[in-house]
Amino acid sequence: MKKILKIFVVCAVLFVIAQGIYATGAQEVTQPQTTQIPEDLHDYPVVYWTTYTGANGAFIQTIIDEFNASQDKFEVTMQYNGNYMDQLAKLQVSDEESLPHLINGSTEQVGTYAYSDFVKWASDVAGKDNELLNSFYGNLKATWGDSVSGKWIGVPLGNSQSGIMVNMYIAKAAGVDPFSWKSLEDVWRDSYKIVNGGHAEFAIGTDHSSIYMNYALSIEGVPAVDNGNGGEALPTKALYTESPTYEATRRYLEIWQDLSANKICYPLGSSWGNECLPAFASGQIAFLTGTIGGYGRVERAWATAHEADGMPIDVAFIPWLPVTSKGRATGLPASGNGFYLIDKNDPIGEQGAWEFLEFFLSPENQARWCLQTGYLPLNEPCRNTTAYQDYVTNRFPYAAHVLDAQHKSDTKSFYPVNMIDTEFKAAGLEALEKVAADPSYSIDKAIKEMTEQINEALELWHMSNT
Amino acid sequence: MKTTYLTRRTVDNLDLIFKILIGLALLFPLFICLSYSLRPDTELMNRSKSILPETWTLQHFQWVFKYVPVFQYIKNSFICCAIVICSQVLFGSLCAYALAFFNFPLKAFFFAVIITTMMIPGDVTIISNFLNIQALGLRNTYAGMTLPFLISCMSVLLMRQFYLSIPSEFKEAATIDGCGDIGFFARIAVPLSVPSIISLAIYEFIMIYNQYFWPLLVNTKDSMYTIQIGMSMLVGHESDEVGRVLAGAIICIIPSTTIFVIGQKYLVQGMTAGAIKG
Repeated sequence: MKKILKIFVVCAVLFVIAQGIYATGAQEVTQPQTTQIPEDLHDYPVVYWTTYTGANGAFIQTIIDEFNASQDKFEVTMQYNGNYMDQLAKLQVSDEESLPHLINGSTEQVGTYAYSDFVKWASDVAGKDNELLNSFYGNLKATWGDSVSGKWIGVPLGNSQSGIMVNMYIAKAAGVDPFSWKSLEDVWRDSYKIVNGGHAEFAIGTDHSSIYMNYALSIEGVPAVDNGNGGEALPTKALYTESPTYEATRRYLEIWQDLSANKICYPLGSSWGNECLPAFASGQIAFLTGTIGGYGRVERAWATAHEADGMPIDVAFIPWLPVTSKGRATGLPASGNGFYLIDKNDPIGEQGAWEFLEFFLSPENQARWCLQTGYLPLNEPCRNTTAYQDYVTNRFPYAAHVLDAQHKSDTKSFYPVNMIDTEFKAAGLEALEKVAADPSYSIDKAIKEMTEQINEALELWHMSNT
Repeated sequence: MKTTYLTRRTVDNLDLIFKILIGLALLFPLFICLSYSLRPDTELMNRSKSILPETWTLQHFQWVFKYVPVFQYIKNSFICCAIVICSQVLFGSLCAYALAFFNFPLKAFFFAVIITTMMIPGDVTIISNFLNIQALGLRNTYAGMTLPFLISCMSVLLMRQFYLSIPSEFKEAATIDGCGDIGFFARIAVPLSVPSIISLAIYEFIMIYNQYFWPLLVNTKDSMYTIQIGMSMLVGHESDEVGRVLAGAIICIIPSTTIFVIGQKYLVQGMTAGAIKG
């Protein structure tokens, strides 16, 4: 009997080992393969849903026209489908046939799309060892890639950094050196110097968004959610009430509450494009939070505001900072926009979408996009193009500072990867609004409420998806 | 006596001034919107605080007409409005007529069911409606854009309230004169209910004209988009230019405001019809 049992156990162990070997082998076999495109393929439709309109939308359309003219296998068409949220809702309900091949989405949506059913990871279409993907800077990989598998979820459209635009005329007059800033506490201190010295009506204007808080925490080196800030596994809870995240969050909100209460910052809630930007361009605000992808708009706003006096633009861009001087400050989380490939069970269309991305992200075209928007290059080949070098030399010398900071950046800082970004952002913004609108509002209470809202959303997601 | 007259006149004047002030307060944002849409970018960027533009320009309107197919989008919006209004008036009137003039088993129950649908927010049904439209293959069609709105509780309720205000003697006299139910409906009830019908039409026009998410969801073709989606393109991310956005808003509200101004008399009449039963 014992013998039979031994044989059974040995067989079972061998079976398990065999399964393991088979599984490993199978994994190797299922490495993504590039789809063979039929020779006679002609104008195969590739649908791209965009959130871009206006000048940037027109620029993308130009690139699409050039791509379509450069080959005859695929024909890319661009469709506007509302903002990020509208687009996401539409994706969730559309049947396979109506889905696009490609969409635009934000950096902050990486987690949402990574854990959705309708995105085909970029590495699965392009291949994990794709030259273009591997050429991207490390901070982009930290944001757009999966740290566990090393695969790319989406592809950045441009390399954007959050940071602070500084009107250097005002800064110099006030004796402020923004390049010496080490943390947001330094910005806080210099903001008072600007207003108290009468150099500008408001020291700083900011976007009506909570992403900056989470970027600051990330550079500080404290996670906003568990499981390695969502990079190692699905987050299960927010960490804002736990040390050391709590202290940094508290300090961040304290800074904005103080700046708002003393009217040092432009009223929080103002539209970035329609209110803060004109105020910044006309000198009413000295510093403006934003992303470098918006520098093109700053340039245009400045040119319009100073059409009469002809004052040349002198705006520096300081990459976003940790909250406190004790922060890690070694990483620059990427922000901005990107592409996601949609899984609509159409390998040829996916391949077409990928070929379009390769065309769009070629060094020359990427450099044109950088010049159009202010985005930083995604890789060295783009940075080394003549067009971009000329841009840095002649139009935006301060870009060199950001590019150097990016080179020094490690890959530890990234926006918390989460699959409930709509709720995540809304809860953060609500906390910021509460403390900025009411100087007596308890910061601890705001943090607690924000954490509870996020945890509830995470719990609901887990309940409905696992 | 004189004191009373003077007091009443003073109260009337104060009342008038108060109403004018409220009217001005309500119109002020619209006026500012128009004023800013007529300023050049330089003035907008310099944050001029004057009420009227220092330099008048139509550049933002020209840009909107040049880069956004405004007339195509307005045409789509108008077609949807026309389909919905015709359907709502027809089916709403017929249903209301039955509920007002006929007695049949479970009449109160059916009416309660109709009223209950008013309590269900539109956002709750939007996904299920979309899935049905998708399954029927009606995306990118006017049918798909309008099907869920062809009949509503509002039209039934509005028309029923009006029909209830028609004296029953009218019906009896018409019946004695040999007029059947359809004849009474077509020759007497409908002509009498013109204010209510116009009121319903205006209400539905505003509802459908202002729709944003539904047409965006149902359509994937740019040529089928409505005016509200067209205007949202002006505030697309990383591209909002305040002058263009305001010019777009002015263009967008002209049709609905015109319709409202022309029909406001009927709108009030229709909404209050049946409120006091004569």
